[in-house]
Amino acid sequence: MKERYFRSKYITRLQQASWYLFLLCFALATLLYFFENKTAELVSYWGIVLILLSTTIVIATIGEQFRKTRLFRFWLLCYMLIVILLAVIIAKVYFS
Amino acid sequence: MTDTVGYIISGLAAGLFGGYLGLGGGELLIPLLTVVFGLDIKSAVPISVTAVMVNSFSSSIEYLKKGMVDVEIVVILSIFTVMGAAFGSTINNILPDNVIRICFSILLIYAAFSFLKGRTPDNSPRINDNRKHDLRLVYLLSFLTGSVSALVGIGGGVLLLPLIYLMIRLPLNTARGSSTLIICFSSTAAAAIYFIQDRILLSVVSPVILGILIGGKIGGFLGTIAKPTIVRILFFLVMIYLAYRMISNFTGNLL
Repeated sequence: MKERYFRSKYITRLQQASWYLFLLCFALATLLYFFENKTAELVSYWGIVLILLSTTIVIATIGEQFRKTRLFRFWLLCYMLIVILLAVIIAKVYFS
Repeated sequence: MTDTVGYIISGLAAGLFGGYLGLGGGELLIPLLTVVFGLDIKSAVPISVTAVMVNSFSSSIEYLKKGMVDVEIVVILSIFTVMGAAFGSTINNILPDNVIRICFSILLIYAAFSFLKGRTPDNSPRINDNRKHDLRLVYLLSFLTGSVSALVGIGGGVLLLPLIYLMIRLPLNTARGSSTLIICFSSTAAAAIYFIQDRILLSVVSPVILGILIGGKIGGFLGTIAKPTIVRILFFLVMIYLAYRMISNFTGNLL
């Protein structure tokens, strides 16, 4: 029988790896701000881009886990969530 | 330099607080940034939203590791909460601000006492079959939660947790774990909007995120081993405090 339970192992691994990356990035940015180095802003900027990308990747990974467990409705819902998030961002930034 | 250390400590405190209770931590971060560091609210909110997203991201790791997240509920409620938030921010000029604040305060006080009273004893940390199956009302309420949160300018955690705990009937720890992940997803849109509009003060957000990353991880871990009674009492106090703040803003506007 197919395992129906959702495996969160891959998501926690991905989140854990991202967490270390964020820590490294923002520790470096903070250190650079201490020394008033101009690179700090650049590191901080890309750190935030990294956070936004990681969150999107986590949603997609959750979706793929649903697909593996044959929960296709939830697989679609995960991608729908990404589309809704993008639509909200685009609508608010460019049309409001 | 002193300010930078202060920002790190603020982030650490907000992370511990938010991660432990299954909230974003903005309830603590915004007063700290505005009152202690003198930032204006328009600068503090984008910083707080970004920090809340990071906090939820890091504290949810601990909950996920221990199987204390109902991912199906997270995905569905995130969709409704995001749509609700988009709707709420669109109609925020139509409804009178004071009416919204008073209604929200009454709702908070009701939710606070219901939450404190709790429901049938259930300390199981695992997802179980207690989950209600007909969730149509919950979907509608999560949409409203998103709308109300956007209308009054707070994170949704303070309403989401009672909703998941009392209405979906998940165990308290699972409700908190699920709530943190929903907050992470639903605050992504707001954080991205502020980021694209260049409204995030990078020199402040970096130390705050550094602190909140560590605080959120520790808070999330402490949250997974916390006693439900203590969590309920602390959460009750937070809700009453928020209700008080909303009402005092309203009376302030009247006077």
